[in-house]
Amino acid sequence: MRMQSILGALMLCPLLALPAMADEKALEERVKKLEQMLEEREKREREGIPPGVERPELIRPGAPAEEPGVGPLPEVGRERRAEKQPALSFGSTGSGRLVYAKPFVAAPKAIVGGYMDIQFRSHRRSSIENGFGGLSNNFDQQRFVPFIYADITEHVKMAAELEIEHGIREEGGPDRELEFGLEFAHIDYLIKEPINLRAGILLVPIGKFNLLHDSPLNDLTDRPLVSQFIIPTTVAETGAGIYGTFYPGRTSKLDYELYVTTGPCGYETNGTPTINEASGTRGARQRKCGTDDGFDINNGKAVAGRVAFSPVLGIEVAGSGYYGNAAPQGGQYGSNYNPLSIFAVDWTLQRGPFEVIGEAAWAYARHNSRAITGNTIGFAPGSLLTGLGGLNPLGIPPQRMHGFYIQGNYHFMPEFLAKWSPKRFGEGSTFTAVVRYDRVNTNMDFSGGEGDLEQISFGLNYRPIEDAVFKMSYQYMPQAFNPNSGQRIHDSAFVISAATYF
Amino acid sequence: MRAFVTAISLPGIIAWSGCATLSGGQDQYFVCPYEVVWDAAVESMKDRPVTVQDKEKGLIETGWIEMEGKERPYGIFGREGFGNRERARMTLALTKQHDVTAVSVLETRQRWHARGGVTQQATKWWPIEPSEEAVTAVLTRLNTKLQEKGCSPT
Repeated sequence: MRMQSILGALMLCPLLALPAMADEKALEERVKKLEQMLEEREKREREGIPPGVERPELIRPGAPAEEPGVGPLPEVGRERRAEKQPALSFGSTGSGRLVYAKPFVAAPKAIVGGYMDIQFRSHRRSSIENGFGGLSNNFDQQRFVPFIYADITEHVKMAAELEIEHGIREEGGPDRELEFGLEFAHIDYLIKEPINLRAGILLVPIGKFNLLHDSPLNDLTDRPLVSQFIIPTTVAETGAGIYGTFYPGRTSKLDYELYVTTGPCGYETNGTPTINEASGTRGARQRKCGTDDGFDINNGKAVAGRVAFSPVLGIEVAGSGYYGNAAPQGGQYGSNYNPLSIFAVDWTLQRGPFEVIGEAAWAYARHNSRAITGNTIGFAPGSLLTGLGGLNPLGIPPQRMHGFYIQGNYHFMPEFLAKWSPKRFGEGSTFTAVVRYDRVNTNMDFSGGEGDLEQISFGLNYRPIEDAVFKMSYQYMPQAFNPNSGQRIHDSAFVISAATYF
Repeated sequence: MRAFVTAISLPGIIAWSGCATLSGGQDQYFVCPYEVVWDAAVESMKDRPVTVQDKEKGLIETGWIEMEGKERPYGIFGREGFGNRERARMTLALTKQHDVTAVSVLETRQRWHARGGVTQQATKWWPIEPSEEAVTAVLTRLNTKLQEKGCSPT
């Protein structure tokens, strides 16, 4: 019995030891697995495959290249297709998924962003134009602007902005004009800092505001009057040219831009001038042109350029100009030559929390007061009421225009606010007090017309971060025009708005 | 017209006074012969890509050095956006003033892409405030080298 017990115990021993052996085996397996994982991880690291990528064959440069549009889709932002993947071409095969073989998915290097604004304004007079007799207050989501920027290669860049103005409308037509278009879209080829090439729809370099006009950059809600009527911001034209930077001294910098563009569009098809007192040069922009597909109105091209000199950081003075034939040519229009020229100077002075910025511009629409060849109105503009200008729409169209603005900014952050809520008023957030004086006259030969305007604006804005701003301002307009009543008025307005990049 | 002239002349005056008062760099004076300070300055800038070294004019200029700059989130969502590339170049100007040699160190710093959205100005370097740290580092190095040679700053 005793013997039996011992034998039984001896037989049970392996059974008891089995779990322990199994544990040991499992441990060995786990260690092995871990070693394998570590080896694999090291291998992936050596090959530059980021952790978390499930299908390394999609990003490994040496991976066998797949046909575009065939095989698994990459997870954009996490995985990238092989850079050696054959380029998409007419020779590529695949189904509807070929769209995913486009470079923006295959090698995403593009940034999509934009900005938007929203404003509420209340005027003392019913001077807001709505087509129904006028308003004294109004909400307006004026601009929604998505943009795309792409680093194609180290030397090739693409930048584009779509603009949807007053986007609440969904119908076009003459009375419900839908403003949707490409504000600019160009391809840059970077050669060297002093000279680079650019082609596409370009922001015409007249003044500084036209180049940097985004609502979140502007410390007041409204754009300066000179940038609305004399330099018709935003003015963009199709063209090509060069730009670059030189460093002439220890601290100085000289930037330039020079483009050949489509040119102004100064007339309707019946010969009515688009440059007038009410809207200044705005109607002569390519985007407003009555030509097919926004094409040129004549064979001549415009030249535009800007040279900016900065002697030290914080100071910049620039001169810019634009010159091009605004009249139609060919066929019934003969060889009209009525050039529009605009010259501008702008300045930026920054010192500590203070800033003084401004711009002055002069426009000359030569022969704008005369009838062009091909005029089908039946009489020369202004000829029936010769001598009348200003408020009479049949008056002589203007030739010379001038305007300027000067703006002072002071950036500050009250200490008690920063202490009270560092999250909201801490580093990166700021208040700006603004004062701006605007003066413009869209007919220098006739003072007191529709476009003889004067405005003083006082503003305060808060930026929780640099790229977002909440603004409020009071505008005093000793010389204004009410388009609803057709009368010159004194007006004032309170404007609040918000704008942000996203 | 009078308003325009006033408006134009005001920033002109400010610009003029601004140019007059903005030094744009850090100055230091050493009671030391010009040659000694020059040699120390050349040595201090050895690790940088010097493009101009003119002893007669007392000028040492470096080329641009690109680097990863301060992080700058973009837009309301604080995205990475256009990256943080910065570049800087250094200029040392030496002038003899009787027994004293003046050294002016200036850094010019730029950032790829301005603030804000894409804009037509996207593919461009934009000037930003110089790094005080970088300027102080050069001056400290120069000080140490000159102290070794028995010169002292005033």
